[in-house]
Amino acid sequence: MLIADLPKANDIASRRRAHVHELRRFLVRRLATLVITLFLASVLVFWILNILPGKPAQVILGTQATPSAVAALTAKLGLNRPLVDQYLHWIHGLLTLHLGDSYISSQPIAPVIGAALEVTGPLVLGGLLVGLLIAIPLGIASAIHHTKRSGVVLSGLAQVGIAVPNFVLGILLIIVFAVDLKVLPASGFTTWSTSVTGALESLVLPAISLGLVEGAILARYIRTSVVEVLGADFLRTARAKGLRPNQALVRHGLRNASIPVLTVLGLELSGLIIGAVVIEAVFTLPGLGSLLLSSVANRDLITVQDIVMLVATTVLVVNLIVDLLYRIIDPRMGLRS
Amino acid sequence: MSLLEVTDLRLSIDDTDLLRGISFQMAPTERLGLIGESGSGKSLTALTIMGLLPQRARLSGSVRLADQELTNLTERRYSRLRGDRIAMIFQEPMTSLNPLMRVGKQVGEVLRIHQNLSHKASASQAIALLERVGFDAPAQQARAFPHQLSGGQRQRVMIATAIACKPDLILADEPTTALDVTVQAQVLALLGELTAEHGCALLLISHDLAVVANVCERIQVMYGGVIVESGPTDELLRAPQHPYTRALLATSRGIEDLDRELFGQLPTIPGVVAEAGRFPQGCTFRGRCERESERCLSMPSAQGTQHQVRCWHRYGVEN
Repeated sequence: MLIADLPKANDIASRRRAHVHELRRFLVRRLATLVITLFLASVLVFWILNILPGKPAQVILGTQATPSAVAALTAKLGLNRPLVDQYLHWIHGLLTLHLGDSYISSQPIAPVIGAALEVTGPLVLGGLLVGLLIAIPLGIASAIHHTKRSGVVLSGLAQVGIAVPNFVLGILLIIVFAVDLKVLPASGFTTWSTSVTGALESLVLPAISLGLVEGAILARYIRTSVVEVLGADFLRTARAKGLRPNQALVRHGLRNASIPVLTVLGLELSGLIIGAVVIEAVFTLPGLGSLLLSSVANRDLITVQDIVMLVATTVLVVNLIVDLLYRIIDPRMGLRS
Repeated sequence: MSLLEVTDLRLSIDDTDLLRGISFQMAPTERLGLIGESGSGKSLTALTIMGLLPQRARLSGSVRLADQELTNLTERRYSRLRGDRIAMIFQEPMTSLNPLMRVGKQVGEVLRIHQNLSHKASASQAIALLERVGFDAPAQQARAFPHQLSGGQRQRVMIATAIACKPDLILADEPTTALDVTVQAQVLALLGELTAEHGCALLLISHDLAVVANVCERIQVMYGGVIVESGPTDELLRAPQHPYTRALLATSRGIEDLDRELFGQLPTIPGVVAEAGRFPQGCTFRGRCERESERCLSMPSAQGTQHQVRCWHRYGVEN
């Protein structure tokens, strides 16, 4: 038989070597992009915060302060130096992991941010978990039943979830679970070192109000993605091999459906972090959001800069990971571009 | 005893009649060609036999595989037959394989489902199957993803999957339509070879007379959800009796006379195929037929035994 159309065996081996090489080049290129993006972000943040009216020394000393006192404090904080110097000083600190000292308290910022992260980190992850726990079953169920009335009801439910702002949901949850049922705290945070269960309890309601809305948004994407996969030819092939509909979906469909969802998930993370700022205010949690708001109010510019850079780095790194993940899931995805 | 017995199959989707009384039999190891234009109901006939119709399809009639009625099977019991006793090869090799799964695993999967093989055993069997369908380095190529293979190779993977469990019947729905002409011949030869080797029957669906004539012992011609003519390949090609079959043959034979016809007109069938489900009452070829008469307002019954024709005005026969 003629088998002229078959590639030679070593084609595949050399293709794999080429793949590893391309993967390395891809990583280098993406990391370079990441560094450039972070640099531009840092310039932008620094520049915007420093052209804002309201000098830190003036705010710290109050309206009654004499000009000479303000000038003295400005000099002490190093804010009378040229902006470029200040910027370089700040960036050098960040690169050597010295976040600097607060203008207000003169204390190092790192431990303050660390303490806030103990609240915001688990809150965002918890919100993500709640979101996924809602979105995956809801999205898949409404896709499977999308031609039936039950599917329409499920989609409608997701739509309602998207329409409700998370702070409204937070307040509703407080009324029901904290005020009426008295099972969970309405506000405040018990630190992890005091009581782990206490800390978890104070994060349950915030995480739910954060995750529910994100989950509803994500459910819509999952639904669309699964509906598309349900009509795919390879799913019919899977059925023709003897898989029952649900088996075919689980073994062949979900991995394919996860690719577009993963992209959205990476973007959703920024939504979760922004949402956390609002939710922390509703539940008066001492997290990164609250720290950011108070630092802005106090013109503690260096703290603001540090927080913004931290969030920007997190978002960019997560998106890079997502990018890598779907290249691992989908072998068709080239490493160029 | 016949392997497959289809009796008066009627199918409608959303009140559109798509199959209007299909009946035929297949003997074990028989190779039957099903030919017709798009929209004639060929693929739906195959999907009906596979039990893979959309949920809103309304079906009546009977499909029996070796005396087992299939139309009333539960999904669970039907799925045990699929891939094991009836296998299907689809038209689009580009989209019919899972893009995220290595092809060896996709071939082996059918063995794991029906023969309870371990991953290891199914993997080595899959490699043997890939070798059988013409891969020259099956162990490496089993690790390839579909997008790394050519169309012909992908269709070979589909064929390997179909023969894996040595089914009684393979349904091949336009298996070579998406392929280059040279690759087409290879894939068809392989399909013929393997069905003969394993003693399985083949229902080959195509719109291409040449494809079917090369592989099949018997041919059925479909038009408008009806089998208008069926008979042994030689006889049907030599002495077609239905006006549609004659017209179809005339358009195909035109190729041989192309030199002479080059500056003339290629033979065509007048009129256009009616939209699926909007076929005329009575004879389904009404409106395009050169022999049409008053009698054609009612559907003719199938006449003849070996060579069956649904026409009031058969060619070569005194009606």
